[in-house]
Amino acid sequence: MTVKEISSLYHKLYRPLCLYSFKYTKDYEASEDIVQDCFSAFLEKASDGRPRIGNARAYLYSAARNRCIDLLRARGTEVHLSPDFDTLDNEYAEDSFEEARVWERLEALPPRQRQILLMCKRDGMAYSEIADALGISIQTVKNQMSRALKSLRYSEKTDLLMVLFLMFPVI
Amino acid sequence: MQNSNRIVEKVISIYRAGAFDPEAGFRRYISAVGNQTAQRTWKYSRTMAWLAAAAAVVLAIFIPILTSGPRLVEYAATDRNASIVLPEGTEVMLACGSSISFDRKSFKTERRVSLEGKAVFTVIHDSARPFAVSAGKALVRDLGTEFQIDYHDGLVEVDVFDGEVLFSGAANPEEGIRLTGGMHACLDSHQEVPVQTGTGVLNPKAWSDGRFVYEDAPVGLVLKDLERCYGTVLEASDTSASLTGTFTASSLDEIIRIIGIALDIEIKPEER
Repeated sequence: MTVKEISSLYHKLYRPLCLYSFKYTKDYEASEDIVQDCFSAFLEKASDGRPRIGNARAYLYSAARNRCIDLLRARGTEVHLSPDFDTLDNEYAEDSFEEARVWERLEALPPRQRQILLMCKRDGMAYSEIADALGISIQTVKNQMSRALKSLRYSEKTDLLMVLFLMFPVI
Repeated sequence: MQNSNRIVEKVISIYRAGAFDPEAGFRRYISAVGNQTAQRTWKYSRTMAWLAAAAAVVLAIFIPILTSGPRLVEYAATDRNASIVLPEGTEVMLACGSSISFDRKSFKTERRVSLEGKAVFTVIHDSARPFAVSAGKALVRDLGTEFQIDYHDGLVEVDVFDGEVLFSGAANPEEGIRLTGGMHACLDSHQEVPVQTGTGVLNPKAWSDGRFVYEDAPVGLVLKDLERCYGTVLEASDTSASLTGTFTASSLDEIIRIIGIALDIEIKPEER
């Protein structure tokens, strides 16, 4: 594979895989290390051939899953491989793609909006507390919040429109 | 919609700035297999190009001449730092935008490379085949060593990390100075003989490994170090403290954040 192909593989799959591993490990660094290991192993295998991206995805996800299970077991957590586990694992894998998209949109928000959104939703601060901390009015916090959430959802709508457009090109 | 709300909430709750960054992951992979990213180009001298053309015409006769002719091998780090291993095992960490070249044939008997830009050399010493680097007006000969040469704007700066080098002007190789671990010397375009100065910066090699080591270093010196490494002018909200510790970072933003937290000050690029 060329450097360009490897770069594009990273851009497509690295973040979804990290988010997927994070569901098991709950550990940022461990997740990135696991995903990095999977990429290295895959790229080493792929060094002579040119695998298709679909194969890459299947390989990387199952490699990440195995490494996550190993890590959990090494930490003393019992993991039973049951049908329930598989169902949950499928859900994790599917969600990870959508999560990566939302993560990207979140990163693309204006820094101030993102900060307010995170203070409110992640850190559980009240509007009044955020307003105090940042020295702005409560109304501004409200406005920024609704704008931030709208940006995240707006993109969902455009995605949906795009799907409709692609499905009915005649319209 | 229910489902996507759930995902939006989920992502917000676990979001951490800078985490899970594909570009950072890719860079980490590339630096682990750095060798493969160095672009290798072959260059022929003008005469050789002409000879090659002639050889194409009378191929059968000229093939032996072509294969025995001089040949220049060039490695260039085009868009990121690259590590290269030369044919005899010398490791070269080449800074982004720098290049080295050598004559493939004579390198077997006389290890001589020329440098544009900045690089760290880790040389396996062999007194029968001395290793020498020419950069601008300077000639640096290894005596068993790890050293860095930074050739920029006509100035050649040499830092020795381990072992010993002989640093001289290329025009008068007899009048060199010997540098050992921790020493720093410069040769500018008006000088004939290099001058040893105090340590240039505290971590001259940090551009290659992102590692900054400080022992009771005043903030002013730390800033100089970072400025040299990243080529950005910095300012700090307080310069009275001093710093001890080892810091590793992959970007300027990251290192100034970490050091800022360590010292409880704010460091940022100077606004112009």
